[in-house]
Amino acid sequence: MKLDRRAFVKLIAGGVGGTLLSPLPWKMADDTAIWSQNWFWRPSPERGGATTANTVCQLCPGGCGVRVRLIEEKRAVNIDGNPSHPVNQGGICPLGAAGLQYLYGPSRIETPLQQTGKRGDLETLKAISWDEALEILAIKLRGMRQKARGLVCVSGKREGTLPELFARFLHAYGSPNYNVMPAAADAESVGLLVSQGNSSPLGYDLENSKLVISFGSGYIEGWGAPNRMMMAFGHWRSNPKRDRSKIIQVETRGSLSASKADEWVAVAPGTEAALALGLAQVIVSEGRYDRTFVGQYTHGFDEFRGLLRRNYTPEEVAAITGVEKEKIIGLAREFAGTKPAVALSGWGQGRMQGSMYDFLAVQSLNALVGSLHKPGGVTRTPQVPLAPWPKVVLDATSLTGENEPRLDGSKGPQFPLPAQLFHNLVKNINEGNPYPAEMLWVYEANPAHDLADVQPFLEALNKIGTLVSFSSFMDETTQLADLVLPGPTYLERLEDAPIPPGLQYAVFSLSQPMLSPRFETRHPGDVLIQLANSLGGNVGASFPWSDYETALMERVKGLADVGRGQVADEPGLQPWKDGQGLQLAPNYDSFDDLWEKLTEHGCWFDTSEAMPSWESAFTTPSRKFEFYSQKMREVGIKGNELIYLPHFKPVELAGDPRDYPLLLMPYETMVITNGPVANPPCITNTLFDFQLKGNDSFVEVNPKTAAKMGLKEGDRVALQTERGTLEVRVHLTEAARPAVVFIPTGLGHSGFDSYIKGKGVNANMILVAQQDQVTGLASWWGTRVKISKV
Amino acid sequence: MTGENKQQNSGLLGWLLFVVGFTGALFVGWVVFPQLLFSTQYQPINYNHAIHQEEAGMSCEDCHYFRDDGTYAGKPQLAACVECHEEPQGETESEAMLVAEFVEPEKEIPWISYSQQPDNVFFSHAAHVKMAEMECTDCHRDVEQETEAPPVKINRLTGYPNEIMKMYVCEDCHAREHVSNSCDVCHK
Amino acid sequence: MSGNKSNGVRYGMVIDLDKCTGCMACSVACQQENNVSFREDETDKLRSITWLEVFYLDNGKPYPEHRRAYMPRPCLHCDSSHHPYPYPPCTFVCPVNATHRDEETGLVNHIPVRCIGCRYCISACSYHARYFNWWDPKWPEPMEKMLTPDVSTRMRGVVEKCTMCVHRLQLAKERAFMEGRRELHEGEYVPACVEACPARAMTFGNLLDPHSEVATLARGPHAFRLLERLATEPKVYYLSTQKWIRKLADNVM
Repeated sequence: MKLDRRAFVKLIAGGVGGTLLSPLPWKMADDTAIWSQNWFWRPSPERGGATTANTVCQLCPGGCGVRVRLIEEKRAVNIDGNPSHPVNQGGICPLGAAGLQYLYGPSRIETPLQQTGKRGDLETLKAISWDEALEILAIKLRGMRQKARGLVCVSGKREGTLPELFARFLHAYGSPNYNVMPAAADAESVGLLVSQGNSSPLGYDLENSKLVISFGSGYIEGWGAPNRMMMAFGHWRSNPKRDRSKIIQVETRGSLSASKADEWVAVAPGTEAALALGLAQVIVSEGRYDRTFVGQYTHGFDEFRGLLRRNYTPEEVAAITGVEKEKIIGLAREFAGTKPAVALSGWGQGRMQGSMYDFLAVQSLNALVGSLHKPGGVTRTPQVPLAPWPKVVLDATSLTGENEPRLDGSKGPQFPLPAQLFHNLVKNINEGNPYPAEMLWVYEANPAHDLADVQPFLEALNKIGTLVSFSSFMDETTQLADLVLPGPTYLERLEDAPIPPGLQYAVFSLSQPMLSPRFETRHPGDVLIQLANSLGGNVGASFPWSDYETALMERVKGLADVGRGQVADEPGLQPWKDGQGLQLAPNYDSFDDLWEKLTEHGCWFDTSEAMPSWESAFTTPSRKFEFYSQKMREVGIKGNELIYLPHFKPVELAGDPRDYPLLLMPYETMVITNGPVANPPCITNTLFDFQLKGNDSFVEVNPKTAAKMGLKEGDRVALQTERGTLEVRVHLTEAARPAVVFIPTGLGHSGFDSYIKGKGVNANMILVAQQDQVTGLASWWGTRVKISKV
Repeated sequence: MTGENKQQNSGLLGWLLFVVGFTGALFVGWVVFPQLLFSTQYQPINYNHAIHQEEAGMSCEDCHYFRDDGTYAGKPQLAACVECHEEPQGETESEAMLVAEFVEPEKEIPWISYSQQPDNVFFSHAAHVKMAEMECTDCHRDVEQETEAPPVKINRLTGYPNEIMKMYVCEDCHAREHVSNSCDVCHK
Repeated sequence: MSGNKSNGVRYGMVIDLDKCTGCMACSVACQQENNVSFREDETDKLRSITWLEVFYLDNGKPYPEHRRAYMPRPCLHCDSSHHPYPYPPCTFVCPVNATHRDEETGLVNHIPVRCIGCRYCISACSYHARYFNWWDPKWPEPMEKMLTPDVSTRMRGVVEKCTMCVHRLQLAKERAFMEGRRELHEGEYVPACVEACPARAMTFGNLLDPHSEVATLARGPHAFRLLERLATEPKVYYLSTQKWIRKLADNVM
């Protein structure tokens, strides 16, 4: 018997037949198809029950209520707007929607870090325990107590109990050098001080305005509370046709705000205030102003009128601004003839400090038409009735510290008005004048990247003994720190969010931990309390709380005590609708109830505080709105008559026009994050490839200007100013004014993660600040630039 | 042997080999292959459905229930176990293990699903149970009398359990019941 | 979608370009909602994935008459009236039936696991609404935690696009089923972009319900659709009082 070929074929045939009659081939085919769909390295999100929880976004001061979608309350998978929060009513901005890319992002700091080698060397930035970190800091602080004034703090947040705790710590320790990052709010608060007598911020009743004229404010690009502004914009646009609100944008660049306005008035760079005064001149000379207000509640109108007549006739203003005379007259008539009308000030997102006089010029328009403290006009943001903390306990050192001059010279003999002067702070640290900065605390701010004209600050760091960063992310400033005390993000911690900028009713919001902290982070409030306790003495006694939560609750008790306002617990609240002064029946019955409801819904609001009457609104020496500032005289500012009046003061541009023929102006957009965090990948995705491509950022240049210089779309150029040179590419657009180069801020990071690092250039590196000699405030837009092909 | 015989023998052998090949392949296909294809996995805790129902008086919905938003919580959470099993309830090994390995360290029990669909499948229990009024046992095995948790057969190739419902089953029923068979009804 | 289902359901969207502030919240919210992957370089627009892409428009006039506008473009979920093939262009060309228009809702769906990556649909789409996964989607390790289980992640070599957040429809239906309802109320199912829009420029609902907000807006005098002459019958309408924007809509994109 021999196995021949035929027999073998039969064996195989039998095998094949048998196989075909078994499930094997069919099952294999099916399963292989399924297998081919299983890409095991592709993440498969874990399933589970979904819940949502309310909190408040803290990525900017806008104070929007957000809802976080949680899976099994263990991981957050989405953030959207909280429809019950009156500020944003369910809307959300791109930054807020991207919040989880910060929470789970790769640039989070996981433990306290200590620099064991050279500053800025990330290799030698070593992880240490919290006990060690606090011990290191406590020893240093004990050691320099006699030089307590040398402790300088920069907070990224202006308002809220956490910045207050930092300020309190410095006060108790004995240093007068608490600062916040500079912004247009600095100019606003000085301007309000000299014209209305106190610095509490402005609240615009924009939802009820019929005409809004914005002098350079990026009203839909991040100015004020971004979501509230966009919501107001949508509201203006949905009013029935006859009743529709009108928006006029005065701006040099054809920004989105300019394009989306009903009218764009293109002015020569930095001349917004001149146009405002031109409008004022027409309103005054044609007698279109509010006679009751101007006659009874203002001071120095005659001087102001005289100045307008002398310097700001339509012809003269046309020459300054480049806006036609007829246009100026038309705008003035429209502004005076529409009720209620309001004028906005503060450039772009309000991140640049700017000039007090620009602010005063714009506010004088609001005053002339009687829009101050009236519905649809501008009033002051009401105070949230939080209970005060006990007084800071002072010892001999801290009493001395109270009377020390501030390092930045603010409230001093030269610059008595502003509460802070960041530009001077940097200069004086560099000069060690009047005393050296021993230690710098940076709390959730990134000055090493975000300060316009940043180079002097980077130099100043060399003069500072110790740099301590309280950041959650590896930003540029934290990279340079000697000690890093990372906090949990806003989604992992309890913190209040104060009234968003520009709001006309009172809001107090609370963010709470949605998740337990991902890393070995510690709440900055708890860190301060622990640090104070370890220092002991009067500093410890000034922080009598066991933890931050207790400290916060103590303040929130004030809301329950006054028994006003409501917890926002239903969608569609429009607190601006029925005007201010409307009493709301509280929907809570005790502090515990209020706290519980606040924790659940995230927001308390109140409309019961009416706008102040004209009789009581002004706390100036004259008890009136002062066109001519007596306050400035009172604090001892001397000079010619002009300095007491709103006027247009051109900025002296930095750089010789022969060497630097063009002007470089920074601009801000919603899709390039400025401030303590950098763009997350999902927002960078939305940038156009003529804004950022690969690692190249683009500057905007008018095609005519480009043609003169032989530049084509996408050309790589060097931007040279007195401060230095940056390499960028050009984008030709008619949105750019001829002879001006527009550069976006917020790019060019060397910190954070590989998703943003090295993308674009940091405009702040080549901007030059110009200081106003009356107020000490600095402007950042007047840098001359040379552009050359590389 | 003559050539003819040889041929005959060879023919016979051939057919014999055919039968061998045929039956062998059938055997491999029907018996060996399924053994190889499926791995057997055991639940982390040998759960006794019967005892929970009869002695503890629990109902199915105590562990398998609709959440408020209409989604279905199929696998029970540890929290449900802890309600009774903070301390061991009896002498069994499973009981001790439950407390020591999961309850005390507060670790979720990694139950293995008998009918886990791929992550691109959206299956609405609400649609089938609340609206179509189907019984659980129309798709799942009846666990009421089960005293121990049967092992889960996991397909080594696909990674899915053998009890998983296939798409054609869904489609057949949807077609019969005049329910939409559009892709996005069941895929996400 | 309104309770009024007598005419059937055609989900559609109206985007008011006068109200749109170009903030990109819609686009970001979409990426977060739908587990859209990203890479280190998101500036390469030929390779990045943006289900809801915002287009830049300008009127082409010199400074200072220059005006710009931003136009959010989700998948337009074409209804297509081409005879005898009443299919949206993308579904008609798919060789494996991976993309398909839901007859009940009018939504054009795309099932990535079924897709073979031939990209025929990408070239068929008149609106650049479809994207291809040139690489494996990768999230840095901790970021995998933020992936939502409501939407499956895609893989290298498949196409993906806006689904109008159809998973939200699935979840909304489940909630309705719990109350024994088959019909959804208006506003129960809304895509993430519409929910996010802070200026309230986007409206979503049943176009066949004459009383729905979306149908009312779509009938308005300033409503238009993109490339209407192609007869793709998109279910996303735009509103603009600006002539130059309306003019651009029927040109090449």
